[in-house]
Parts: sequence; structure tokens; C-alpha cells
Amino acid sequence: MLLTKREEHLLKAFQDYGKLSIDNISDILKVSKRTVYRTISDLTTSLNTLNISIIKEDNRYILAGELENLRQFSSQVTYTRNERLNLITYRLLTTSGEVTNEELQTEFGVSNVTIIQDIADIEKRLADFDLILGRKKGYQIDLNQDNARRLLAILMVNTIPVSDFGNQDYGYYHESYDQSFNQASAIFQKYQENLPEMDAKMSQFFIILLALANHGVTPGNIKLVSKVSLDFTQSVYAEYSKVTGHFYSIQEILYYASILDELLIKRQETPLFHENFDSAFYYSVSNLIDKVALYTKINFAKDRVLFKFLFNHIRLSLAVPTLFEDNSNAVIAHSALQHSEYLHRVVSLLVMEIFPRYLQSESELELITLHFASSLRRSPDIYPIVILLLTDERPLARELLITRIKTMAPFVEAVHVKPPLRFSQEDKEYYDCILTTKLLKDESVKVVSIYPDGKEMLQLQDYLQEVQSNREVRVREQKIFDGEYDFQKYFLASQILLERFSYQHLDNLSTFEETVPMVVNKIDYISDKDYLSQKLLRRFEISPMAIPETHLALLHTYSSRVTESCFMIFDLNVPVNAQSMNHETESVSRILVMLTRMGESEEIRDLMSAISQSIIENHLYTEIYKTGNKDIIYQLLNQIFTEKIKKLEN
Amino acid sequence: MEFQKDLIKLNQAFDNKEAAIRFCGQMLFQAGYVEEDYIEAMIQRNKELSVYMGNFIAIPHGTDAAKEKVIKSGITIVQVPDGVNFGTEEDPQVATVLFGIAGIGDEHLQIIQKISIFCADIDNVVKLADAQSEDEVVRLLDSVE
Repeated sequence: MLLTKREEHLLKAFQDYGKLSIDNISDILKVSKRTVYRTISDLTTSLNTLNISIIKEDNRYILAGELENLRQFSSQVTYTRNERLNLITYRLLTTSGEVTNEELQTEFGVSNVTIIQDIADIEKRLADFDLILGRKKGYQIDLNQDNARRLLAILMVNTIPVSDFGNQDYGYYHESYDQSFNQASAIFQKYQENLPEMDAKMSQFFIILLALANHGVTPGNIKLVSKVSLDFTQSVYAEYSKVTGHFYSIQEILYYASILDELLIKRQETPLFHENFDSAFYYSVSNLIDKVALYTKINFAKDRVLFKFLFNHIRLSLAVPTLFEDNSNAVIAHSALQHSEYLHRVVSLLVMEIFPRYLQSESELELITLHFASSLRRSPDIYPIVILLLTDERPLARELLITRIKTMAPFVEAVHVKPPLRFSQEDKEYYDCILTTKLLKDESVKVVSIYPDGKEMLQLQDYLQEVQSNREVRVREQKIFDGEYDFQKYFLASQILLERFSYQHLDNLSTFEETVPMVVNKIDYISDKDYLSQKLLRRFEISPMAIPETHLALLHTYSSRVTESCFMIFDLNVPVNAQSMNHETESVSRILVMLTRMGESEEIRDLMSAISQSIIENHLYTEIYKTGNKDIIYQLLNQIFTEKIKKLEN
Repeated sequence: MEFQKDLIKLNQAFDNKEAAIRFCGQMLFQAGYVEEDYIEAMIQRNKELSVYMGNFIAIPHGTDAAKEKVIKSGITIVQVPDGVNFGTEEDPQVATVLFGIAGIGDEHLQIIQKISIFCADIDNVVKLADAQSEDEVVRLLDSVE
């Protein structure tokens, strides 16, 4: 006798409680009454083989018949196809020998053919991660392959929901990993503040990766890791080895630090102050936006928020890609895209061209399209109310919710988001309405699901309309969220940078390596020119910064040997070849130099960041940097500074 | 963990890894940390599993069975500017700093772990290899908690 999960759940409820009403069952199974009737009917058919039936007494149902037969019935859990693919992969990644088709048939209660199909899908997916599935007498993944441990961590993140993980509910893995997950969580979280901010799912990945330390072979050949990453890893492993009593080698520590570098530290939105910056990734995201804009003729580059969301979303998806798609989850994004078929096609084709294979699942493509689609819908309107949304959900989920709110209530001018923990009484004064995705004690705060259904959306619409018609006119002093800015200081800083700006021709030698010291030599604001030339070249090797198809290269650093921060341009008499952000050769005829003094004021640093962003993110500006003469670029800088200061004022 | 200055030797040179390990063992023995048999156990341990740890360091220590030959926990640090090869000719693994270890019970593992974490930062290894005095070595290692 094979039961579906739902039937099994119901059978267990009968065994636990005896009598059950339709309402009881509906609550227990969390399904509609109609489904309850169907499940009862299905279970009746299944139980008939054991001579057991379900009878109705006073509007309640009970089991009747040869109940002792139930004892022989050993629970055969049935898995969905998605669960099976994940679990088989898990078996393969944790078994050093071979796993036979027969073993898998028994374990999962499916036929030989089903397993063969599953294995074919798994093999294909493993290949996306450069892992090879061996077949001799059975199936086997050679666990000496570098990516094996990392894939296991990805698989575990895929199969333990973030909220369960936070509650130390590790589902399938609980027996084998309870202890190490708990230990790794505690230690990782203790030091997490030393790392850049990250999504809960990303930290789950790093916690699991820590718990998998020493699993299989240690991937070797790691050369350079960043200071931030190494400091963090050293602290974490020092403590982790104390609690586990195991030894972790230098290679283990470097491996962990290198993954932190790759997935998090090198992928930061503001490139300027990071030594090992992943320019290729940065370029891929802005290139995606540019190309989508080109094919759709919609200027997505204007929407600064889009870059930010896409950057974070894709960064997370690259770290923890979905291994096997669960079709039941795809519905939300899918339905939201009904009217954006062309956009979806353009985005899909470009993502496939730009990003690695393992990212390109159908649901991932839909989610990325959704970011573009919601960019289109972000627009403020005329009878404004301002909402505060309290939530800890992922940016995409909450962005989707916000988009839906704004679509059905165009009078919503802005929805600000805060984690519930940071909610304060002051917020009530400031906002017209406060929504939360998590139940709070405060009853004036309206609860809303993160994925509300149609009915709930209608209710919410009524609620917001009521808020709008009853709203008090609030005098809002423009609240500045990120502390106080002294605009006078910003203004002075921009004057200083404009004064130091220069544009020169350079009679250079024929290689990039020879040209850089010549450039450095021309700049007055450097105390040790040899050192700085070497540093710039070394950095360029790690994070190449020629901008593809522009003949531009950017040299930038943050150093104690810089005496004054400055931005300068050098036109080369002889073009030289340099590596571009997407690791191709670019013929460079103009070099942009950005030098930042160690300990520089916040104002100057902000403005320098604004320049660097304008160079690589904005297509129009890049064009000006490429061809503009001194006056034009001076005007451009002036404009960028003004924009930046205006933005701070708002 | 305490570092004894007289257990630190700067500017040493060795023909091969066995000589290097033996030197570390001899120091521990002479200072009264281990019995003489421990030295052979250190050679043996390296044959079973190389004590080369990566990042240009090696941590010679005895086999588990030889733990009873340890009198008290101690550590000797030997600087080898020209390096000594702990690998093979085809696949050289050159160590420039050696940490000879005698540890009672778990201390053994703890000491190796601390050194590994410290030396995961190659800058720290360079500093140890360049140190000009025993005091400087002690100071560097004391920065490890």
C-alpha cells in the first residue's frame, strides 16, 4: 500500500486523535474542505486493501474494521519528484562508494525506469557544476572533485528553508548534522558583523559550508585571499576547532576564505574601496541592464534601484543556485509575467549569454525578468500616502509585495521597509499606515502575507483606501535616513576635486606596464611613485578595469602614498593593450586615474564613489568619458557632484 | 602557550627533511620536554603523513603512540632561510619555518591548530621567516590568542 503524503498525514491524525470532523481535518492538513473530502475518499480506497474503512458518526469520522492490520503497515513515505532528485543527489554526494539503482528503488519506492530518468536529470545538472557522475556497477560521484563539497552545501541550503534553519529545524539532515549546524551557526553569527551585509540565505550557505569543513578532500591551490576574509576565517576556525575538537589545516582555512571572497567580499556594490573587486561580475550586471535597455528601448539604466536589486539578487543566486526546480513554486513569478513576454524573452537570452550555465533555470530567468518588470512599475502618484512595511523577507519577495500594493493602490507614494525589530513609536507618527508580514503585538499594525492571495489583496485595497480618506495631513520634514549631511562640506569637497581635475596628453611607451609608471610620474599628489605604480599594476591584474568597447581604462586605488585625492585623465599617444572587466583585451587610448588618500573625509570619498560609478555603470556617461574634451568632462563632473548632493538632500 | 627563547633557533640549514625533523626532536629532548625515543616517532609520523602544512611551514611532531614519551608540552621554532624540502623532487614542498611540537593529550592538537590558523596568513609566515631575533619571534607568536 502506497500512501500520498497527505493521506499519510490524515491516517496519522486518525491514529492520534480518533474522531475528526471535516473542520478538524481541514485545519490539520491545511487544505480546503473540498480537498478534505477527496483525501478521505482516497484514503478509504487505500485502506480497503487492509480491510479498514472510514465511517461517519455524528458528523465526525473514525477508522473502523481490522485496525490491527495497521500495525503491519510500515510507513512508506512518498517523495515528490523534486524531493527525490535532491535526496538522490545527497546520497551520491555523501557516499564514497557506489549507489545502485536497486538501492534507490527501495529507498524511494519507485521503479527502475523512474530512477534512470532521475539519474539522467541529476547527471545533466551536475555537469553544470563541472561534476562528473560515474557509472560502473552503480552510480558514483568522485568526491575528490573540487566542487563536491560546495555543491553539497548548496543542496542543503536548497532543501532547508531559511526560516526552519533559523529555528534549528534541519529536516532530513537533523540526525547527522544537528550538532555541527548549531555549533557553526553560533560561531558564524558571533563574527558576522565583521563581514559585509548579506542575505539570510547566503549566511545559511556559509554556516553549512563551515559545518562541512574537512568533508571529503580539501580543494587546494588557493593563492590569494583578502584580508577581511582571512581575518574572519581565522577567528571563526580558531573557535570552531575548540568546540569540535577537530583539526583544520591551512588549506581548509584558505579554502573557506576564498569562497567568502568569491561570493561575497569581492562582489560589493561600491567598487572603489575594495582591493579585490570582482569587476567581471559588476560588469555583467550593468551590461545586462544596458543590453536589455538596448533591445527593449526602455532606459532601465535610469532606475538606480534596479541595479541594486539585480546585483544582490544575482549575487545570491550565483552563490546558492536552485539545483532542481520545484514547479509548484514557479507559479508566482510566472503569473506576474503574463504581460511581459517580449521582455522575458530578451532578458532570458541575455542572461544565458552573460551568466554561467548553472544559473539559468527557468524560474531564475523569470525572477530576473520580474526585476525588470517591477522597475517599470515603480512610479509615485498624486494622492500620496506613505507606508512602512515591516518585514524580514528577501528583497525580491518584498519587492513583489510592494509592486502589488502599488499596482492596486496607485496613490501609494512610497513604501519604506524596515525589519520589525527596528520598529519604533516614532514611525507611527511619520507614516500614514504600517504593514507587517509578521504578527506583532501592536494591534494598530496591519498584518499582511508576503504572498497575499487575491482576496487578501482586495481587503488590503479597502484598508488602504480607508487610510487614505482618513489620513491626517502630516507635515513631514524631509526625514534624512542616513544621518546628517553637511552640504556645505560636500560643496567644498566638490570644488576641491574640480580644481585638482586635470587632462593631459602622454607621450607613452607601447605597453600598459610601461605606461602606468609614466602616468604616475605625471601626478604630483603621490609620495612614493614606484610603490604606487606597482600597486596599481598589481591591482589591475587582480581586478582588470579596462571598460569593454570604450578604449578606456580606469586606474584607481586607496593608499597611504597618495597625498591628495584626485581624478585625472591621460590621453595616450600610442594605444596600449590592457585586460578589460570581462577579461578580454581592450585597446586603451585614454586612462582615467582616481586616487584616494588614506583617511580621506567622508564627503570626498562619497564624491569619488560617485565618479567611479558614473564611469562603469552609466552608458551615456561612459560615452562622454570616452570622447569628451577637458571642458566637457569638467561639466560632467560638476553635474555628477550636483546630482549626488541633490540625492543626499532628498 | 608559552614560548621559550632558548627553544627558538634562527638561521638554520638542513640537507633534508629528516635532518630537520631530527634537529627539532633533539632540541625538545635536550630541553627535557620528551624522552629520546620521541625523536624516532617524529620521523615515523612524517613518513605516515607529511607534516608539511602548506604556506611554507612544517609542524614536526610524534605519532599518537609516542605520546607517552612526552614529559611536558613544549614547542621549538626553527627558522630555515634557504628552506628545506618536505616534498619530493618533482613536487617540492619547501618549509622555511619549522614548529617542533611535543604536546600532552589534547594540547598537541590545540597547538597545531593555533599555528595553522596564524600561518594561514602568509604575511605572518614571512614575518616569522624574516625575524631577526628570538624576541621578535616570541612577540609575533604572542599576538596569537
